[in-house]
Amino acid sequence: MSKKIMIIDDDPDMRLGLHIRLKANNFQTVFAADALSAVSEARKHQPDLIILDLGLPAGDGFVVMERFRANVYLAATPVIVVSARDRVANEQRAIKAGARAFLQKPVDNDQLLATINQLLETA
Amino acid sequence: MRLEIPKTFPGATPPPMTALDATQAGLPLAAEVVRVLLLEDSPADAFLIQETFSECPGNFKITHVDRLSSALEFITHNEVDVALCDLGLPDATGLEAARSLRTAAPDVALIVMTRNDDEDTAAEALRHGAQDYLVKGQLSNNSILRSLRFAMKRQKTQVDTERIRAQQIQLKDEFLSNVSHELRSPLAAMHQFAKILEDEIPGKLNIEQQQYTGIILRNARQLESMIDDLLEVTRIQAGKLTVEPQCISLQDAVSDTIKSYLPAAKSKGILMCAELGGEMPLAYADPTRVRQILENLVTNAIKFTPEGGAVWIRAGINQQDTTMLTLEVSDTGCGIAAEGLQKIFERLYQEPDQERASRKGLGLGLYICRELVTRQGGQIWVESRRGKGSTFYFTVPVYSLHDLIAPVILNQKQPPQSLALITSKLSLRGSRKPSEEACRKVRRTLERCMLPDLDVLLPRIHSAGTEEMYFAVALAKEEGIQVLVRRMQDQLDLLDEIKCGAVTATVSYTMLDHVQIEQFTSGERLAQWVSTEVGQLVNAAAFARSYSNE
Repeated sequence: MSKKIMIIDDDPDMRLGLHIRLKANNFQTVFAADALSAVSEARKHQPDLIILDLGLPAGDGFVVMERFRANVYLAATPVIVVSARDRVANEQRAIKAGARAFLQKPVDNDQLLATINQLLETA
Repeated sequence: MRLEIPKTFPGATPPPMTALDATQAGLPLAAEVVRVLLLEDSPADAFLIQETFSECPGNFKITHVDRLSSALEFITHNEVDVALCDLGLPDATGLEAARSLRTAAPDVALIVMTRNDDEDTAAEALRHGAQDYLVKGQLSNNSILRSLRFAMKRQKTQVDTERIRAQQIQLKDEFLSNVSHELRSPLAAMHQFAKILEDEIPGKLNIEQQQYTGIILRNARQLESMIDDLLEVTRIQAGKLTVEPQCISLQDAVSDTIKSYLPAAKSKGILMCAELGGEMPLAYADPTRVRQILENLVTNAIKFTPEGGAVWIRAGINQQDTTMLTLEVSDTGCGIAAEGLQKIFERLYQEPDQERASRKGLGLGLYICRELVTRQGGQIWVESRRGKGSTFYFTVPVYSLHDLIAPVILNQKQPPQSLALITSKLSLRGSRKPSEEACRKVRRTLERCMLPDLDVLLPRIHSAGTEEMYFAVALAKEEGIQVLVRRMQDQLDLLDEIKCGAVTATVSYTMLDHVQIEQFTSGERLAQWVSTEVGQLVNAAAFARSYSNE
């Protein structure tokens, strides 16, 4: 069965773009567009992996990661942060907050897919 | 040092200070206490200065110390408005006192006191952050008061200006960082969809459609690299540019660059080649940064070279200084006018008539290159002739085991009796390379296990394989080494990657022959021998690894 990936991004274009890319690589996708619905949607869909933007309405990516970590059903789900924010200022912080990888937007698709596969393999 | 008060004051004596002058100069006078720290080792001089103060109008609280150490102690724990500092102290030579006080208390006004015949030192002190100087033997209550007042006023202005400047820089940095974030988001979407088209996910493209998609992507990438440059400059100015030197092969950097730029050169009808100087030693540099510099130079070279031209990348040992390696990028482009050669590495500099290039760019690339090169201990320069072409050169240090090992061995009071090479090997399950993040974590963990003056963690050896190796030289007997090895293994086992089984780490060691070590009486010769031995072991290990990877 194909793996389920959750895309959390407030930009509908980004969500659609990632969805097309992931679908073409045989992944299922589910979505959330803000920090508030992120946790409830994730609980509902139980994704295998989460792609998370940092700038979100109603909180931000760091708040979302904190809530994931506090939730027994989501704490182990690998999170890849994909953000347009400055790598130098945010990579370490994101990793500390529980992200398994930080990718800079515009994201390199090969790198994204390689990271996804690697994380799903070790999970 | 003796203080003589001449009967008549030489030079122009300032007119007596009136109460009006005092308020204009902004000095709190009778109403407020001026806290003065007097650093003077001669009791007689100190007495005379204090006497002079007592004759001045105003309320002074004078603390007298006779050593720099006590002055530093006092100034860090107490509020001081102005420090008067003698330049001939027993525990500091000349300007050192002024410099240390300035560093310890950047907000305190500083006046140095010199002897009659030493105005040069005084002038030098001003350059090191003193606001004013007084010449001993020419002290009067007027001159002291005036000097104090202006020193304090000047210091206040300086501190205020500095604060405002810092605020402005921070504002600008935040602005730039926000802007580049905001610019990046729409660009990310453009890039994503153009890429989806290019990869023909929605359906086959005809030749023309492929070509246009290629144009969109190329421009998106150009915009992305300009945003990156903007951010990089912000980092340089905030002092946050990071460079992580390690042991790398320049051949790799050069061939990677050629590989990624060959298509662009080909499509413009430009020949692109590399020339590598045979047996080249490894370099001690940051591989990502070296590639960044090369990419910057090659992009420029291709941009300014007409069809039918050529771009060369060469690498070799620097002929003048064999501890450095030189990389060069040359082209047969339009060249740079003589006036531009110096200015070209300055921020925002643009060649005046660049009509040949349809787009000018931001004028940041070479400035970033210069910063990256200097931060790795190298130099960058250019030779060029108008109409003939340009050659950009930059240097990076040769990786020298001896330079890394010698300080530790020479630092010991007596030559060490035994030492060992510790090897930590990190290997990943499967065929993938360990992530940069994992490598960095391992390095930090190993660093924590070591003693700074007994062990040397060698720089990371850049590798493309599925294994990562770390080497450390440790000065201890076999039992000590065993303890260290066990500690390293225990610490590494605590890492998440290792706990979840994605990475395996093993630590082993090789004792260097202690009979040999005993033969050396001079630390320098021993250091030489150790670096050769270690070098051989490291090379053997690295060779075995590259062999097993193939």
